[in-house]
Amino acid sequence: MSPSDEANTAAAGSRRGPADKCGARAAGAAGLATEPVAPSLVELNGVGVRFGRKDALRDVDLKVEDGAFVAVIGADGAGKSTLVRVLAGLRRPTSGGVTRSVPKEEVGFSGSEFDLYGDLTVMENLRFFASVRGLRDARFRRAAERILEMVGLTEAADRPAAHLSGGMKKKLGLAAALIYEPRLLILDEPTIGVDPTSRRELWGIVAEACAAGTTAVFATTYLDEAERARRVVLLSAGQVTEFSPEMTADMTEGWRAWVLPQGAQKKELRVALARAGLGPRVYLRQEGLALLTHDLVEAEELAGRVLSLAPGTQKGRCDIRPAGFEPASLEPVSLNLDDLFVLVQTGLAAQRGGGS
Amino acid sequence: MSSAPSGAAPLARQHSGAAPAHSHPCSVALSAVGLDKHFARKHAVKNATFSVSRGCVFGFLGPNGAGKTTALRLVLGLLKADAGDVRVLGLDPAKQPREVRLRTGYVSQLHSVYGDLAIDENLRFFGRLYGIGGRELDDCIAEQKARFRLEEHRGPVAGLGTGVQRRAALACALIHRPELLILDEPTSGMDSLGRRNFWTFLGELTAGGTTIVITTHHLEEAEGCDDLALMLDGEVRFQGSPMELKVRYAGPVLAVSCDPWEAGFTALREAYGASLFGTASHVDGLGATAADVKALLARRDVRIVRVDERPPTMEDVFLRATMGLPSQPVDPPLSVTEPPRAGTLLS
Amino acid sequence: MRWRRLLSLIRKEFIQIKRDRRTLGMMIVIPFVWLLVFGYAASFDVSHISTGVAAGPQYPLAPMVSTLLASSKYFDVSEQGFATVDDLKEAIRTGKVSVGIVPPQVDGTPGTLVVDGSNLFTSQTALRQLQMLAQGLAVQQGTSPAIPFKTEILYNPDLRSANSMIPGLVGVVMVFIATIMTAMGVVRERERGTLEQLMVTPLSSTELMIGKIAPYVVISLVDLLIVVVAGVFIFDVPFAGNPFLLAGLSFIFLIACLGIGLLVSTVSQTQQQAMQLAVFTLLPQILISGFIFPLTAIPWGVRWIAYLVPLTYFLPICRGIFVKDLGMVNLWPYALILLAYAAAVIMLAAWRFRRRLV
Repeated sequence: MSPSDEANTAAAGSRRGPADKCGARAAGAAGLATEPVAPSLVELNGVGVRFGRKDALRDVDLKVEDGAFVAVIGADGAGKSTLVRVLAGLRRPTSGGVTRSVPKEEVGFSGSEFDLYGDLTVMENLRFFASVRGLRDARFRRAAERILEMVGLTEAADRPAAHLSGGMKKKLGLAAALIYEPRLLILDEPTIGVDPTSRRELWGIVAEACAAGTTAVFATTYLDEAERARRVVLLSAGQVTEFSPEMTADMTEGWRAWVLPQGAQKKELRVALARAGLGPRVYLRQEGLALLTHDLVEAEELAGRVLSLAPGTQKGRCDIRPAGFEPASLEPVSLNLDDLFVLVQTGLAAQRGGGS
Repeated sequence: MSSAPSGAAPLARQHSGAAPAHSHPCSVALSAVGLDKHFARKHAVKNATFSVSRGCVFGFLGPNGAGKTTALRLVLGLLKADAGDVRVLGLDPAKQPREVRLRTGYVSQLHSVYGDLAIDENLRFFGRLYGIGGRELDDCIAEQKARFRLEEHRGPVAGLGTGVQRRAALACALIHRPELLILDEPTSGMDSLGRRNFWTFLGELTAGGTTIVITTHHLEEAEGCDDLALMLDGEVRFQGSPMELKVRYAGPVLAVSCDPWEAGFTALREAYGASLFGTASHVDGLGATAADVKALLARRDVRIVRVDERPPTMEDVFLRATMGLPSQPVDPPLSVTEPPRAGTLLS
Repeated sequence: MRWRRLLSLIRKEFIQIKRDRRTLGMMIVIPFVWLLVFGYAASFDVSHISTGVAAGPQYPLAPMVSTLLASSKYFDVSEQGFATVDDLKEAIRTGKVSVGIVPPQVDGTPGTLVVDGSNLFTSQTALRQLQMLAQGLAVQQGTSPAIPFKTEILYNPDLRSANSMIPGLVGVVMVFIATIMTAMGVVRERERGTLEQLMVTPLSSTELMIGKIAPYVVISLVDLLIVVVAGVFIFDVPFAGNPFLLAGLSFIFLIACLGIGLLVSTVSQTQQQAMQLAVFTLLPQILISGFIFPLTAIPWGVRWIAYLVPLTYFLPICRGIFVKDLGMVNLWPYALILLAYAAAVIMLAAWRFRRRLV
């Protein structure tokens, strides 16, 4: 156990102490201190899942350590849903082994679609999913009060779940997965179709659970959401690789992102550059229209191209922040997760990085 | 505006409320003035006014239930407005619904293709609906398939990947080469690469003169729009470029790293509704200053490792706008004199 | 197996059933509707057959025939406008009457009986009744009876179809409710994604299966009670046997039906598919199990199907207990087959169910 793990567990214990009124967790935390703590809650060893003739997962090794907050990213159809379902125990792998040191009662799962009972009320849903896990009566009532408060559904407790808005349904899904304070929370694309306000609230709820010591794994296609996690794994061609600037550094060596100044005619430039074959290397990010280039020489060359492609770009054309447009005004920015993902997915990183 | 070269994005356009909506029938693809719609229990759209220039990507933002979909349905003539005036491509959708529909394409949130038909069959069906036939239809189908890289995909659409399904839906919506394309959350569930390609493609389309109205919950994408309208509670609260929106709700986000991060985050969340990124707590700079944060964490005996000021993301800006934080027409002050009550940032 | 977990699941099922008024209504209303349909409307006893009697001076016996027929509840007689056989045939063709009678004529021409053969039950009843009337007439007039046998019908002396249909309906209603409701109940969970939520809980597949089935056992038994009580008190079907024996054997039968429902659920993705499949298994049960047509009247080409469905074995049981007061002494072969059937189906279903889960 690493020192940071120790810190996490300690923090979890101290946070839980006052927050936990039902006492079950306190006993659990006390138990943790004496028993030898398993290094990981779930461990996949060479896991493969086959659907017919297609491999969804191939030889996946993944350890989910206690207290971790892991994002699983990957392209459409990369097998993210399958992976989180294997972790949740919903799908038995075709090959390989799953070692689980967390009992089923302590795993919470919420799928990408609403997966509770629409014909039951919010409270009935919570009561059912709590009671099949052994949380009943007074202990349940206290837990329900706390969780409804946390997700902001106290007012809606007696409404049928089917009548809730999309965002509220998602929150109810989280509440049902969190009510028995699971040690492991698994979420499949938790924010699909959720508006930004609800999205932020959802992540807030997950973050609170994590700060209280819950281990969480979620699958997402949004890399800005993956940045919320403390560990990101990329699922590609059925296999898992660690995904962080450090881990992908050798793959993406030499690659840089450049931002064109604000006010440049973004759209025309974008179209022109895309037509010039730069495809997904031209994109809009928070700072403005961005370009991915492999080396400085290419950056210079591209800057020249940008200039030639955008003859209309000149001072005074923008009311917000007039900007001149010169090659030097290409502003280097760091590669974000999205860039790394695109470089890896398109094979650009491997080509250039491996070649040079 | 008249001096802008054709096809250029109207970067300098002012807030649309000021401009008479129908004054430039050639440059305005879609306009709504004083649009109003009541449902049995809800005033879904309240006196909404917005206009979309031709060849623009127009982002229609707002939380769920704000009235975006209703407004789009009014514009398409799928619903009848209680009051207000709509012009789509110079036509009144209530009076000339056929003409409007022949010249517009719509992709709803639900996949609007038939899952049990193959891509070809879907394209052929939608093409025929729009009165295209014979060689022309074959050409249109080939064009759309090439454009959306759908050539290799055979068999029923339901059996194909989500990304392919979305591309197929788009191809169907574009089969009749509409002048106005309305997309309701088209990128929901697409991966980053898919989204980048999608936006590049939208750029291509607008360069060809197509006007695009798009709703999205993924606000990074709002950056790619030429113009945005923000709907809240059935009202259009803002129309302007993404830049204008950012300036209006400018102000940094504080990224606070603490030790231990759990305690720091818990304190900052209780007080300021902080979000968690990795181990860093993000606090809206309009809700709390760095000094506030430091004072709070000192009271809780949490050590601060560092505090960074970051530019707000589009999502931060959107949340500020939806939560009614004071907008700032001029350069943002370094600190807000009257920070909102603790906890109001996330209610 | 944890009882409290199981009880939580059953309680949830009952809340959902209670709230789904339409389905609940269906489960209560269906037995009643079927009772009406099979007890009254689809009664195979026909009465008030519209009958035309040729009348005129050449038919001196016509008034007597008319009077005789009119005295029977089976015939409604009209004499208007039938002078010849062809008039009557035309009337039958246009559907004005179902039976035409041309009495013997003055010149000695024998009488003719014209029956609409396209209406099977009507014509059969008409022929039978006419024969009996003729017999009665012969007796009355002192001539020798046309039929030398005295007929005696056991258990159902009036040959009322209700006495045979309603005991059979006990089985049919249970097949319907148990198969469809179980299949739908499980597939609904799969279709709505709630099955995954159940699977991440500590509920075992056995608990899950029992929890999903138990409410429908209760509802099916309630339906059984409805049919029996309504049959006895509304349709005057005598209940001769031991009600507890009927209940016990019904329970075994029910398990077999629920097993089929579960099997259907394991091969269906959507509720629609489940419904179609369930109906697919139901139709042969209702048509060829002996509920409507006697098993022996069915050619072997399809009769073997009848031996694959549980209703075939249950019908003799419920008819036997209901009408004939049979006991285990007589019914044990059927009971044994049902028991084996139920055990096999439920094990197969459990195995499939578990395999489909993870």
